[in-house]
Amino acid sequence: MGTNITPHAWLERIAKPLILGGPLYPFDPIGPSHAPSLAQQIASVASPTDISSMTVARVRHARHLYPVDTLPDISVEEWLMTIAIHDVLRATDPHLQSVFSPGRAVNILDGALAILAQVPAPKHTLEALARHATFASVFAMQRQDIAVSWWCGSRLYAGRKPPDRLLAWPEVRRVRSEILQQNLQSMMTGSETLKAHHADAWQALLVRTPLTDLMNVTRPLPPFRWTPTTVAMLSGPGRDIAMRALRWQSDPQTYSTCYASFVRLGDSAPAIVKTALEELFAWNNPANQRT
Amino acid sequence: MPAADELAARQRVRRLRQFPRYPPAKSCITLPAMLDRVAMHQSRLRLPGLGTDGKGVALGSRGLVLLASLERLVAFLSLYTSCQSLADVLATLRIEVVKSKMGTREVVLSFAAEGSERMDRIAEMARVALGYTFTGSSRHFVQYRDIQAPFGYDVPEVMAADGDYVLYHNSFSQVYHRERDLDLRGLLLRLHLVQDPAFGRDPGPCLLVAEEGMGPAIVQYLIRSRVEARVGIAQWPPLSALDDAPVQRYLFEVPALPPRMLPLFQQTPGVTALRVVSPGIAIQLGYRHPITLQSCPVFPPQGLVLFFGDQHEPLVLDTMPTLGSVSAFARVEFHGGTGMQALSGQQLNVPTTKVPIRLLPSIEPWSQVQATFIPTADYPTFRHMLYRLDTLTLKTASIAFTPHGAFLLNPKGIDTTPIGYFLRELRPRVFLAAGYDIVPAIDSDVLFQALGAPSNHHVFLLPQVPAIGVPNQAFVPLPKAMIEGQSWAPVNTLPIEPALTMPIPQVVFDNPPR
Repeated sequence: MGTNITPHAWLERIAKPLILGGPLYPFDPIGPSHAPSLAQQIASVASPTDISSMTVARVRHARHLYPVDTLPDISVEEWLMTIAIHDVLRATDPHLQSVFSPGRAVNILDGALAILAQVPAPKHTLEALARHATFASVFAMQRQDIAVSWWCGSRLYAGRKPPDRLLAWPEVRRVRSEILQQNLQSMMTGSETLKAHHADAWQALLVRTPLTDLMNVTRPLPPFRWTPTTVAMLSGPGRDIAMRALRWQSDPQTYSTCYASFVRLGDSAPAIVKTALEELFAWNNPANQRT
Repeated sequence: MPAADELAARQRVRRLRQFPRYPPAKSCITLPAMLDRVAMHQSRLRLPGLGTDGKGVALGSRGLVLLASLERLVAFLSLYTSCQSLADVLATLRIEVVKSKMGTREVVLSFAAEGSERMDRIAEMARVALGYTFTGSSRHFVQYRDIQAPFGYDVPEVMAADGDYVLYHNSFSQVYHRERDLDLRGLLLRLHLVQDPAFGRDPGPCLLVAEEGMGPAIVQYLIRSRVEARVGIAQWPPLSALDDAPVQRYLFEVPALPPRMLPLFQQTPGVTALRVVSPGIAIQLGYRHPITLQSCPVFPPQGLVLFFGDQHEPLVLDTMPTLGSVSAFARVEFHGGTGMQALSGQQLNVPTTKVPIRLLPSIEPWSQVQATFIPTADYPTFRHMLYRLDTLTLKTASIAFTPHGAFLLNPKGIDTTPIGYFLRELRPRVFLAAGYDIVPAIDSDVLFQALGAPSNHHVFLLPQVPAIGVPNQAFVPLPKAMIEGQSWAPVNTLPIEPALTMPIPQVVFDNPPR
């Protein structure tokens, strides 16, 4: 897991696509040993021109929740989270898993968890908002797989383009190709253990960006659950922003998902969550609102 | 050159001196030194024509600056003229394009060295313009002193070469052949002006060049506005071979053009306003010459050089056209010639019954208050008030400035500008101070006749002051008169389209396209 990645290459291939959208080309896995130095390097070397276009997009995301005009620059912690996301995405590459190294993807996911362990929860509302602005697009991420079948076989190219020779003479060789869009959940293939590790890694990321967690309640992966950081958002000065994040979603399943998670907490469920759910319910059903 | 520009140029030189573009020689990669450092009290030098001055610095009779291109030459001249005049070196200055044996063309600027102080000054400027400074005599020039060699350099061996210039530098020795001379005057005339909205905003002498049809109108306008000016006709050969007649334009010399007239002359087609930067040289307002022309006495003062913006060629007149005061062109009126006889002495003895008009305070309610007189002392308050005026007032009000003060007219009522002495309208173009009545209590038409029935003036009757007549043309819309020109500068914009279109992030495991 060594790396010779330059900050500029990181910005172009990972950070900009993650924030601005577009094709994201992962490097080899970074790993927890190299991640802190790389994050420090990116934070110190990133040029204002590169940062400014990303700042415009981040402010645009943040303004969904709060009318800010400026945001703090992307912090070292956020760069560490970016590196963790990169490693999690890299772990979904089916090429990594081979007969000789069956547990490599699990190792990479464990490494991503170790990177995230170095990132503390946001200390204040502005930091939570800044983190959400950076990672708002993460759960919209997709991967385009191409399933190619020909007269004597078939193969799935996950996030890769099939070679031209395989697509040659389509009529003679009866070549058929089908494009499959994979979301975060379906990206990871393999054993249930591997999928559980994958979900754990995303959950660890969401704990560190609670507003993104609340903005994506009905996401496919990992299932929503009330965490200390999301409850802290609701009970602190950022309550209005957190409620706005919940109300922002147009999916009718938002309330039921939140409520189901609340029920699972049982007796330990905080009262502040209950109040918030009542408010959300009234918001979704104005006829039931208390007078 | 404005003081601010000069200060900026000096700061730039100082900054470059503190942070030189190249690291000092100690930290450079050590190359075999090609020149010998002159030691203190050394008197014998190998380079022909090189001696030492009173301070012991190796110095030839001439100095030489080698510059890589014409752009660097312009940069050097711009830096030099922003700090000091070229007059002291101009007599011996030669600018040549030279060619090396490798075919590269460079620019050589040579001049009489005269002393190490002048050479030090020029060497500093040349260093900023990325040029090299040399000293020597007719053909052989050695690098001038720098921080490594405070007493200068000498050559270990004189090169046998047949070039026009043989230059010895610590990092190179090169032979150059002269290709052609560069005329400084021609260079100054060929350089395009650069846009500078702030240029000419300060008060100062101006020239106005007007098309033939515009000349008489401007003459009358300047007379009406009591602006001192001189006018003449300038002629020059036709610019195109298809034109037969020479080009003829009105030329106005205005020692102090009021700032309110600047936008008018800058925006009116057919009139070009220029600022006189030195005797015989004028530059169009809103533009700036890359080189400080005041420091380049290459144009004869008895002629006239006009630099125009928009990449037009400058106009060079060998002699200044004859100019006369615009008051000589004022409209003249003759008496009607009714043939009436002059009054005889006996008639003069008849006691007169005519009385002057007086203004007395009145308790009548005010009405038709449509003007105000703002004394000059109230101008600061009025400027503050301008920021608070509503759109309708700004649209309908007009103002005229006189030596007594400003007269503000507003047919919609003057109550939105509570400043100065209010005036009510007695009849069209006749205004009386509000709160006063005229005695004798004559009709307004009689008053108008008594005032001479002026058709092209507004007449204002104020207490304790004789009636004031202001030409109708002196009233201009309030925004045009009061809002000063705003400066602006272009900035590079960042493309935000990628942020606004926001495509979905897509994971691709292939290598990125090159």
